[in-house]
Amino acid sequence: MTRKNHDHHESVCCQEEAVNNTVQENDYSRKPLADVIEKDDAYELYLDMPGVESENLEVVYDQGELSVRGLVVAGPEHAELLYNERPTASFSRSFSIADGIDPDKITARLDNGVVMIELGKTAAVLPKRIEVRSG
Amino acid sequence: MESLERPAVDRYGKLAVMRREEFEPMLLKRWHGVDLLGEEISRLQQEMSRWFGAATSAVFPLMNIWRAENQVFVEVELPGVVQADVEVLVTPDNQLVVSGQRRRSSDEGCYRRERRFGEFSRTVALPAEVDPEQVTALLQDGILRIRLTEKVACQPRKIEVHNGTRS
Repeated sequence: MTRKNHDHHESVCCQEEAVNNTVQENDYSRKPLADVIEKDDAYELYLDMPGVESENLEVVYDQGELSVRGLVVAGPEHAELLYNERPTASFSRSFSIADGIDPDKITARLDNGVVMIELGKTAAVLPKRIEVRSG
Repeated sequence: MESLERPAVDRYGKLAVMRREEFEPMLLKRWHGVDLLGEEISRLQQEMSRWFGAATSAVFPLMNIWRAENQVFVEVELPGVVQADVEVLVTPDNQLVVSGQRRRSSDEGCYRRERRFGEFSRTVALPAEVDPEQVTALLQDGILRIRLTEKVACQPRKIEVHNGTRS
């Protein structure tokens, strides 16, 4: 079953890929929760990916699609799992990036299990300050 | 006829061994003394979120509990939470309390919010009595890893029986 997630806001920066929704929350991947904040010159995407270390994190931008994947470290070995709320799968989520984002202005940072991806807006969409000349 | 899988009774007199296929989170009700309803409701909410594909998580923070020999391991997902904002307690009646808050930097300009912020508190009844002096808690990469060591059960003390004599 495919589902498309739509934001209520008009100007949509990111839309979930319909394709990605078919692989959510199964045995193979788990969707990290995301917040999107719009700043003047960029969008900031925050993803909760606890347990992911930087060498196990992959952020890929390819032709309008931003993919984030993170492997998680397994729990204690040789121990009996008594209570399980956390999905055992690793994190994976894709976003469709709308126009207005400059692919060369995408950066990612990992802090305390939170991935922050900054997507810079293209110069064309930034407000331009117009010089006022006095004649 | 006796069943081949006979539940064993641990030193606390509670049923300790469950069959493999029964090892669902639901079964933990038998371990937990308190917060049964809270845990059960959160688990149901999580199930419902999964079924309806909701992006928001009803439970925060998520945790797993393991047990090996005489140790209990707890892992709590606390992305974006700093050490100063989380507190771990072991109460005299053998409960583990993890509480704190996740601070939100700014709400301005946010147009998609899935992550939970604010105060949180989880309480679980531990499956065995632990030694509060031997508890470690480490917060790293957004995961709080707590290790608790169970108290060693006292060996039975042998009581001398004296012969009562009537003179």
